[in-house]
Amino acid sequence: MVATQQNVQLFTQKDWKTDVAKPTWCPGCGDYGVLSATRKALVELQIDPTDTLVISGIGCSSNFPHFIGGYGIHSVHGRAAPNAVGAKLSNPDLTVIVAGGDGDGLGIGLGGFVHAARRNLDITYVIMDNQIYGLTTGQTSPTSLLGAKTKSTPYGNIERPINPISMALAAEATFVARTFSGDAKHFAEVMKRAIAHKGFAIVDALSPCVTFNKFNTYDYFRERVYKLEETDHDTSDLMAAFKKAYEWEFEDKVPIGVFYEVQRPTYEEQELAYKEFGNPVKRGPQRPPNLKKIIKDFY
Amino acid sequence: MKNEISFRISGQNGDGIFSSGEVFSKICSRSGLHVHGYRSYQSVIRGGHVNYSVRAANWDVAAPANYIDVLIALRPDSFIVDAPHMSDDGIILYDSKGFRIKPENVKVKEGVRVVDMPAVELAAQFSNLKIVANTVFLGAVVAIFNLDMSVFEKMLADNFASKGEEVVRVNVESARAGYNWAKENLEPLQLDITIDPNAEPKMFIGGNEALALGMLIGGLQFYAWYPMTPASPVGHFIAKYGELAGVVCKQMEDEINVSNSVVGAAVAGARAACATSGGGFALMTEAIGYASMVEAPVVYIEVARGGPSTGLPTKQEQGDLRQLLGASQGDYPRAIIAQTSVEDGIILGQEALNIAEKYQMPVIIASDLYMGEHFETIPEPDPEAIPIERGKLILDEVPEEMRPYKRYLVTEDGISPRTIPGVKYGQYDAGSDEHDEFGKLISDVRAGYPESIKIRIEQMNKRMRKMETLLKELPAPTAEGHPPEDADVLLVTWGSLLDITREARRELETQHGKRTAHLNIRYIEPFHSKEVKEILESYQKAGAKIILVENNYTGQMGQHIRMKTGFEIKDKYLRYDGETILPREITSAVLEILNR
Repeated sequence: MVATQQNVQLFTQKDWKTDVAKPTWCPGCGDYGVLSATRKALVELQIDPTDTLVISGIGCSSNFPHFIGGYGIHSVHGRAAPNAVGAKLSNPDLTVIVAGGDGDGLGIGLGGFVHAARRNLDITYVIMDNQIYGLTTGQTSPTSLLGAKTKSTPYGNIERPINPISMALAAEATFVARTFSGDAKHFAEVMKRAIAHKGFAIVDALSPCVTFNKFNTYDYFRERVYKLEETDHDTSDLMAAFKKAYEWEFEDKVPIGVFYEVQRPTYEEQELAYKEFGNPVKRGPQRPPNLKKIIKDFY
Repeated sequence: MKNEISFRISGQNGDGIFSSGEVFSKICSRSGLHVHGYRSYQSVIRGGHVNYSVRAANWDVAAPANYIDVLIALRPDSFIVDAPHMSDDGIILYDSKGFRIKPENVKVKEGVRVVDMPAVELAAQFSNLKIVANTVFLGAVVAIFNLDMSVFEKMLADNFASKGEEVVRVNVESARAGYNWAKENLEPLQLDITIDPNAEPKMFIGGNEALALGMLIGGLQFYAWYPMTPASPVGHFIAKYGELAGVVCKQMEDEINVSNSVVGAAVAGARAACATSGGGFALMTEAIGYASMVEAPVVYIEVARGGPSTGLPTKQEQGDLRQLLGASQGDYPRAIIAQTSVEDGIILGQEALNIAEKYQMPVIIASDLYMGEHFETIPEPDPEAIPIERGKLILDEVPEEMRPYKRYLVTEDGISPRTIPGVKYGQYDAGSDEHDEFGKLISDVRAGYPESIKIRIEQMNKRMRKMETLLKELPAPTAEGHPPEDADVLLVTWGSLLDITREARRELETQHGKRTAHLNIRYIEPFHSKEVKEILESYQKAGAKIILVENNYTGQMGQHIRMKTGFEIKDKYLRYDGETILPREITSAVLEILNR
């Protein structure tokens, strides 16, 4: 929940750090950038860690919840999205952030990712995208580029990669962005907008794996990224967003920033169960107030 | 003289078989009778052959009838599928002209009366809808069973009230036409039944719906599902009634995500549940172990159907027990409880949510197609009979002496005080990896260190201790019927076979002079090994025959009992033809085994 007192810093960086665990990522891993930018965005938005749930699946990046304040769920491989759907629907007042890798979200978890997006729950999903399976020591991932040589494709990848941006757009996400963990300031700004967005926000976070992906390196991205904010890109134009989504593939340029943003009623706003009785978790379990009416149908 | 009503209507999908069966069930219920209803159907939407059987009596009928006394045979296939189950002096009503049933289709055993009734023609006086012929037929059935026509008329008025007076009139007049036709052309059956048209009707509900209602009464807050026969009625019920009671009901994209969404909901603090059948349960299993590892309270319902694989989607089997027992990797605490009757659904729905939350573990409910999809009259549930017990749940801020908060605190009973997001000073990470008391992983950079090895053992012991704590709370099973020294036979069953076996016992006792006893298992995990062993050994020592009755090929409960107690039940009656076992079939099997 966003705090109302604008001028008082109720929550600081300290609240978003945790004594429990230190990051276990390799030195230089892009995920450090994701972590610090996310903390920065959360502090700037003055979000209360007590009312925040950070959810992940399995993978290097999925250790994320352990390294950040707030409540966390470190679920099973590929299932961050459905865990987030259940949690958010049960307590719609929570700030729910999903963080996980490209393999977790776009490989094994693609079904959950797509369906979570189209529901337009007020959830932020950060794909920590390193285009490789890191924790299992370097196999091809759904976003590995054509030709990528990995342990599972030693002679080169012959499958076209999933395009996280066009996939998110096609899945009806209402906020679709990309950022780069080599640009801390841009990252924090995009994260801030994503978390503040009311609806399902997807951030494709280019987060280089320094150990297993020797192709999509910091330098690779530094040579190719440019900021959409510095162009005349119209974020309300879905077709323009699709066009931008394919620039990496067809023009070897990597646009970062917000591709698409639209306001649509969220799932929570339309959920009938809240209308009369409010937030299920805050209210607590109750006997059905309409029991007599239900039973009447069975005589 | 017969002291029960046994009726069936059969025809094609789309013929209105189920609604006619339900109407007749409610006529019986409103006449002060106990009612048992069962529908048999196929995995098609139009065509195919379906039937609905109703059994009613002044006594507590809780099993399908052995034979049919009156059958409405709408289609030629009724004479192939249903007519063989007629009692020796039963009556079959059909309409040769209206439903084009040729004389060569009409095949019945000797003694059965076949009555060609112009139901469609009679209905045509009032309506051009062919389905109204069902009402004409039902009018005749009301006459044959000597039921009170005013009850039927009131039923029709209530049923069609929303469709307007004209629809009510058409149906009431059609019903009277059928009733009068039967009074003129047929002798009513002589039955030893007391009809009370002014009786307080009883609630008439299915096993799946009762379970869903039980969960609503038990304070369910989140339900997720993916359609699968025969578990879908649980979801339909919660979608229809739950949403209006503040329960979020979410149809997910597949069972994997159903199973995970309920864990997310449970960690967030909701009472959460989901239901599926065998194939869906197979997809759900990874998250069941995950729920247990993060100690999230979730109820998983499995309504079994005929397997393996897609198997027999609309047919009965108790073939999934081993799957429930073997679900998910590793050793982890969970409860497995079988639903034993429709009425038990009301209790079990609440009990399962309480156990899940008190013990912070998954509870699996083992049901099956017969259990879920048959209907019975039951007493109206008392919503305050079972308290909502949430266990060690901290909802205000974590007290100072408990900070820093240890979510997985090692305790004597294995249960740690639990917080949910929103509780101050209670933050933790619910991790599927092995973790320490704080929830911090010991699986990566700490793995293998002496401290981590110690933590692993402590956490595993802590979790598994919950099974011992729970077992102490659960009532041990007892054998009903004759005590060991006085019994010829002890029947051993589980779950849905409770009432069918009870009726078989009545037959064995009253018609065959056998002294019987019965052990029906409800709590499958944790298991009362000591008590079950004592029961089995005491009957064996006293010389009673012990017979296992199950609806599967391998006798899965028999294997479970043997694994838990070392006691092998050698005599078995196992059925895996997809059909519900009838009382008389158990009776014959028992007599055959006793006479060996």
